[in-house]
Amino acid sequence: MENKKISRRSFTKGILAAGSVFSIVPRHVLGGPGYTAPSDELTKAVIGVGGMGQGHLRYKGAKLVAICDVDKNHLSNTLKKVGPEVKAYTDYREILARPDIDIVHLPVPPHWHGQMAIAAAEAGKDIWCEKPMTRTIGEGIKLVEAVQRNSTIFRLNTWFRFTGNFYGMNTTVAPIKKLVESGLLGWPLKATVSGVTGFNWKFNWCGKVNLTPQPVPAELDYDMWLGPAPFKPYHKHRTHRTFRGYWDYDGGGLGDMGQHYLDPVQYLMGKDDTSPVYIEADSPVQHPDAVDVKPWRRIYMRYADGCELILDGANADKSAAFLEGPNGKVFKGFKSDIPNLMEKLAEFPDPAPQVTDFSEAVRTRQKFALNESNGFRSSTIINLGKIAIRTRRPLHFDPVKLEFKNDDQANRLINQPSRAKWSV
Amino acid sequence: MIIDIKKLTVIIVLMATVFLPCSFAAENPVAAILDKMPAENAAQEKELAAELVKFAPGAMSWICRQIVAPGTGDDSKARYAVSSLVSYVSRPDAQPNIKMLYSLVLAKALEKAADKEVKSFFITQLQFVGDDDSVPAVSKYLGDKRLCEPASFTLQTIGTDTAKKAVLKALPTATKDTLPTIIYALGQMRVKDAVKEITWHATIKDRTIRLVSLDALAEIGDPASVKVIEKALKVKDPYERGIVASNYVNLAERLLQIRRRDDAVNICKNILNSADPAIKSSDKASALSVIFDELGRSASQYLEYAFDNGDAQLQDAAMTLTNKSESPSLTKMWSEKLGKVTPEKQVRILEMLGKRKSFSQYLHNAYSNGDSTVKIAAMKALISRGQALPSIFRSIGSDDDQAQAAKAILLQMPTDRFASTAVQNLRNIKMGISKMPAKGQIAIIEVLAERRVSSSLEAVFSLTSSKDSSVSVAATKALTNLAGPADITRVIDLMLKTKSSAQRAEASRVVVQLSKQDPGKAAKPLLGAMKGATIDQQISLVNLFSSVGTKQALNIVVSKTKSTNDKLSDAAIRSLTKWKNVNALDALLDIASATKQLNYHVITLKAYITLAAKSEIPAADKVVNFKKAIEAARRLNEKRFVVSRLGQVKTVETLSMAVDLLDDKELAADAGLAVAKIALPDGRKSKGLKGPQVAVLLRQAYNKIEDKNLRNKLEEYIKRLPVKKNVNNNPAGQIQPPEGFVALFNGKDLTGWKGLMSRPYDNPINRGKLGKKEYAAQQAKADESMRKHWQVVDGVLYFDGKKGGHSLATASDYGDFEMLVDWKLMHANGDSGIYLRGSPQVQIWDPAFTKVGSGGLYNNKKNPSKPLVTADKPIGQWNTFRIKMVGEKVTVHLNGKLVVDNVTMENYWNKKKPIFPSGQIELQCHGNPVCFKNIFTVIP
Repeated sequence: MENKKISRRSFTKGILAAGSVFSIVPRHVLGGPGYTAPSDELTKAVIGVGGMGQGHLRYKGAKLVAICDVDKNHLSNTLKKVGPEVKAYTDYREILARPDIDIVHLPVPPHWHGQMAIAAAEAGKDIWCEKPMTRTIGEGIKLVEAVQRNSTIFRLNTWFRFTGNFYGMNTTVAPIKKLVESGLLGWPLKATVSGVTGFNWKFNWCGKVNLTPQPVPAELDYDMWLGPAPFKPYHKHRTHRTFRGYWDYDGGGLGDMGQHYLDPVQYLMGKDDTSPVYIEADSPVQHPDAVDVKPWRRIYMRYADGCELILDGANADKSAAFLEGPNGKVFKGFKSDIPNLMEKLAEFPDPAPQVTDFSEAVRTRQKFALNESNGFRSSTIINLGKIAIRTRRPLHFDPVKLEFKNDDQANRLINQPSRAKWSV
Repeated sequence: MIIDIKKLTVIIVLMATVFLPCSFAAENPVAAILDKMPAENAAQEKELAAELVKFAPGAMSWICRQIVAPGTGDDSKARYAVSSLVSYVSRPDAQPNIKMLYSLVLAKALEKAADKEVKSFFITQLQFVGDDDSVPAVSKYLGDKRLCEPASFTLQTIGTDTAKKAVLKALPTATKDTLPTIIYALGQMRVKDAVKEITWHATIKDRTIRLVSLDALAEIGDPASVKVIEKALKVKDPYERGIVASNYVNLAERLLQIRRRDDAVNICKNILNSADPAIKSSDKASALSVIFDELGRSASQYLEYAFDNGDAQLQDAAMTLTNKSESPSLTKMWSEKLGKVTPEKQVRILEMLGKRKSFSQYLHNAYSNGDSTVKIAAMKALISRGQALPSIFRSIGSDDDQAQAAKAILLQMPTDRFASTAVQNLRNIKMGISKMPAKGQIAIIEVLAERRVSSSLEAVFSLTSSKDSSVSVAATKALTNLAGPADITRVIDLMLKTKSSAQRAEASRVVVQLSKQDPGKAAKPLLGAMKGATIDQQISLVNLFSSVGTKQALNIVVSKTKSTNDKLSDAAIRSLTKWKNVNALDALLDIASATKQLNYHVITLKAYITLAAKSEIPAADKVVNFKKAIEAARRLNEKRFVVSRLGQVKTVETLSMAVDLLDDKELAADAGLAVAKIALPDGRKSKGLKGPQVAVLLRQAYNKIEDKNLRNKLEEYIKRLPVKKNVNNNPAGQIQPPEGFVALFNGKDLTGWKGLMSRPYDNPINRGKLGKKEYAAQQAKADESMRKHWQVVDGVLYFDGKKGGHSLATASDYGDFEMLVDWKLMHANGDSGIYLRGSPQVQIWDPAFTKVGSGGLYNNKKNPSKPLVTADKPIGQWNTFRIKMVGEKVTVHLNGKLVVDNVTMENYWNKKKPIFPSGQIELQCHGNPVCFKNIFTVIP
């Protein structure tokens, strides 16, 4: 079944080229058509002004000039909060067609991320996309290609690998990265993400079964809300605040928090350019439509070099360390069994600096710290987890070909067809 | 295709079984299996699926028939089962043909289903297990407006020739609704035979169909489509033009894949040369990439063209592509260009060249000669090749920007790569071999300090005597990280001998730091240094003894407080005030009491209190210290200071002292604040003082404090303190019912009581309207709340006053009756009540606050609502109500005194009607703890 794979050649050979094109391109060097001089203000549009979208309105670095939503109430509510210069749209394609908009924010549900971001990249916009990066691995591959081919500056809306207090670890990730790079823990590493190590898997995002179809509210363009996702009869719970409970749009708590938790782990383990090779989930049978009606208990993943990821949803391992190596462990709260850890760490180099200011990245055309490459890999971890839960048998994955070995059903979940009207 | 007889036979047999009427008696076992869905884990799932397969295919068909249209019933178990079977038959080690069998079952179910959503469900399941044999069943629906999409998804996924043919067949008869879906699917499946017809659709008016068609043509990659797409590029709408441009690039890549290389390269050349604004830089970059991959060496002219004429993005592209090949001719071409381009472009070329294997001398030249941005780029390139150090250290010596950048770069390197070079540099500086500006020396020193390179200690130490004061100070500061307790003697020496006050300050900080690491080691040299020291030196030393803290050190300092030299005695006293441990307490108090100088008195007194407060000595001892301090205080503001510090020690002992101080008029206000600070939660770390004494003390405080705000806060907190132990302060108080009365409360449990439903069903009128089922559900909820918040403690009925609680109600209704009930509020300003016939109420509250006694019919508007007299006992004591209700009239005695005399009780729930003829009696929940006992009734 060769047509299931997408084997287009792309600008940088293979989707797998990670790392930046250039590390420094000084500001004053840039000139020529199509680039904003540093003194000009960047402009942004926010597509999707429901829940998360409200936050995006306020993110700094660019001036808001346009908003878009498929729900007219969201639009009118938001217009009350923003300045008169902000224009409201119901069709995102009109925003992409405006040459004066530099950046688009995409706080739309995950089933739209792939298609909308690809269209934005093709339209020459820089992109600030919500997480998880894409709902399926196949869309992720296409999105990486489109972004790299268009030299788009792309970032995801998670940040713990470069800033912020990393949940129960109670520290930024930088000292943990330093610890890993120092070799004091040894190699390979095993990471456990659970309530015990300081992370909550949010099983409250479960879907409902036996939904009775409801009339579509007048303010909602349901066809556009669905976009590329398959048509299902409308019910309020499938949309807006609770879409996470449905496979068609997302993947429950795993989809919600997965990239926040696992992208830093991927960064810590230095796995930004590869994926796990073995995945196995312990879960009750999942409903074909609704996610986590009965929550999954544990997802185990292993990389080729022996590094392991354990997503312990049931908090079964009460003594788990967040990171464990043959020579040492690190627990919740950045506690360790290595004596005099801080003093020892001081002798080691700081981790490589990262580009952490998005508008600066846009101006100087540098790859952002969390970009389409490493973001695709951490998003793939999430998607592998989802496939493991939905098939519930051991899976072997090829991180280069991006397909499963000897498992047709799992492979059919990698590239899922989308609705024609919204896919071009 | 050769017909596989074996396969065909199996299919025929299977289909026969499927089409046979379901006559097996096994329908019940299947229902039982279905009931167990969803399986908890993989093992159970396998077991259940295997069971189902045993009864296959009838079982599977039966399950499919349980799927109903959305909203018409609960078919979740059946859907779980269908989902389970999908996984089961998809196992790599599943029995052969089981997947095909299941697909047949699903196809049959698809056909039989009447509702379109149900049909859609089966089509989607076939997306995961379907194969060639499923194509006919699915493709039937390509003409249906609702089902065309799911059918096309399934056929795309199956992707066999049969599937492609089926979709193609549907093209001519497709309607406006189904056309986009069919064309798109044909594009995704790359069906060449569809090109002709899709080309026709690519020029029609409907934009969606047009765009879908162009997309499909690009995907299919037929050379005949090149001209079609080139023509489509001429459309006016810029957004559409942009999309078509991407299609154009896509087509080039597809042509390459099917080995139409020349066609592909031609398109790419067109793109690269195009002046059409719809063709973006990124499209040109893609085209350049294709040319580079295909033309190899002859591509270099295109790379150069792109770099010379394109924008920054295209220049980037040229650079990235160059580095995909290590060809020396490319290296030569670009290095020769270096001298001919602008500095901005130089930077680009340099960075690219920096990544090439054979390139050092260009980098070094650039590093020495270029402007600062070029320098930095070159430096980075050099580092990545490990050739940078001499250059880095040279640049550290140049200007500020360079030094900072170089320092940052060093800090990214592992220590052992630069440590010895750095140390050697410092040595050369000291020996005068190399000259480096101060800022550079400081940068090196700071890097060594930050990395704690102990091998650099001597080199750094030698620079403490540098002629440049900024260097000597920086070197001294670095000793904090580099020196150890063993070096303390020479650092003390440095401190005592230096003439620079800045250096002396740094040196003392280092000594302090080293002393903290090892006080024992530090003491001896410090004390030793006192011998023969000048007055000024003694002053410096005495300052440091406070961090050493030993008894020996203390003795010396104390003796120096009596020195005839004013400066020395001053330093000694101040040193005592910074003493690191409680050894200094007595000395401080002595000075505070005895000294004639007011300023010394003040600082030693303050230090005494501060030191005591934050130390680890037992709370009782701290109280002693505080008392001594108050005695030693000479003025009011000093006493007030002591009292305010009391607030920092959050213990029962200090609380007790603070409460006592409330009686002192002068100190009462501060004492009140101290009480609050000690006992109440502060919203951050402290959650408030707990302990058996606390409630008692706080109540005492409550009575003595006048500030309303503070009283409220105390009251809030007191309410939350656990009081169960105090519940029944009259253990023998449980009495037998008087003659004729019946006990409503048995002293043991809640028999005879039920919970009051939450709003709006606390209203008897609303409650009465509830249907049986709803009533039962609400009552169950209310009883659950009751069990949480109403308990029997020491034979007394206790309500905890916490959120989520509701009133307690009698299980039965009462019409006319007489009732006795003992009640007790647990704290000041509490509130409760007795509801009669389900209606409010005979009031229970604290007359000290409300100025009105308990017992009145509070909710009356027209009739009297206040009691005739205030008959309440003090808060915390038991009271007794005797309530008589006959018809509408109520009479209440409180503790034997008449408070309500035959007054009409109005109907709160319906102002226009009289009180209900009967109803439940309720003990009111009003958000605070309250106790009841001895509850008796008699019916007249």
